[in-house]
Amino acid sequence: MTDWSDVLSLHDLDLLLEEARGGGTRQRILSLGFRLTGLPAVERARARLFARLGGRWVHAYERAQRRYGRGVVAVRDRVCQGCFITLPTCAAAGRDSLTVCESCGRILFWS
Amino acid sequence: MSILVGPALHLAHLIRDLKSCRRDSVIGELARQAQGLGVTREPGVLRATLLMRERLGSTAVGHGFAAPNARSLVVTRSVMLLGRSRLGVDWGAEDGALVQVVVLVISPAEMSAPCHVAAVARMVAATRAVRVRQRLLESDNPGEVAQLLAVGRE
Repeated sequence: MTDWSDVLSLHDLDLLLEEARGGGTRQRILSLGFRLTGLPAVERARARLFARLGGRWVHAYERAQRRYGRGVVAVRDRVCQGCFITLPTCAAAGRDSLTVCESCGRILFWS
Repeated sequence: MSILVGPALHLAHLIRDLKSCRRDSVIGELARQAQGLGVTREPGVLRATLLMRERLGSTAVGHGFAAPNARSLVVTRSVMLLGRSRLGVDWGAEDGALVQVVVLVISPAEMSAPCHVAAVARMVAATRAVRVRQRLLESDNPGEVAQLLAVGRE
């Protein structure tokens, strides 16, 4: 996997872990008949993925997650879905790359 | 085709007979289908997330039904895709039954965890009735399938 897809996967993994650890959602998931026995394995997979990331993304991801709860946000119609600022045209990223929002510091995924 | 099933959830596609017969391949097939429908641009990332969800614990709920699901940054809108397998797929269900109906529920990352889980819960609740499960296996009418799944609406 490339750096950018690792960052996206890490973000999705954190969403999964949020559902599995959160008191209310965890109980709801278990009540549906799903099992969550693989939580330690997924936590290990997250640690491995995190260790594989390049230093720049690790720093940006951790900082944004600590501050806002989410490290990466999507860009829709040139608008950062974290701080809702309209991004300048020069901020556009290619298909396989990520950028950082100059306003809020979250990693941007150009969807 | 897009049929409203519940609040902000659409039945985007009905796959009458899944080509794959292994769980991981079925998930890949559904992710590629989501790409074809314009719901995601990155089926590889979506597939990896869905497989990680299975690693967390099987999404098979018994009686030949599974509801793989995830929220993902690469998903642009909440949709549901239903796939059927004539032969059945080993999904690691507790009752040991092969899965014949797979309902994929995917939501964008912006959706809150309780909302996403509630959408999955609606699908699971809808399939508890034997009559509904039977019709889901037989019906070729996407409208009817959407209506059957809407039964579990809260």
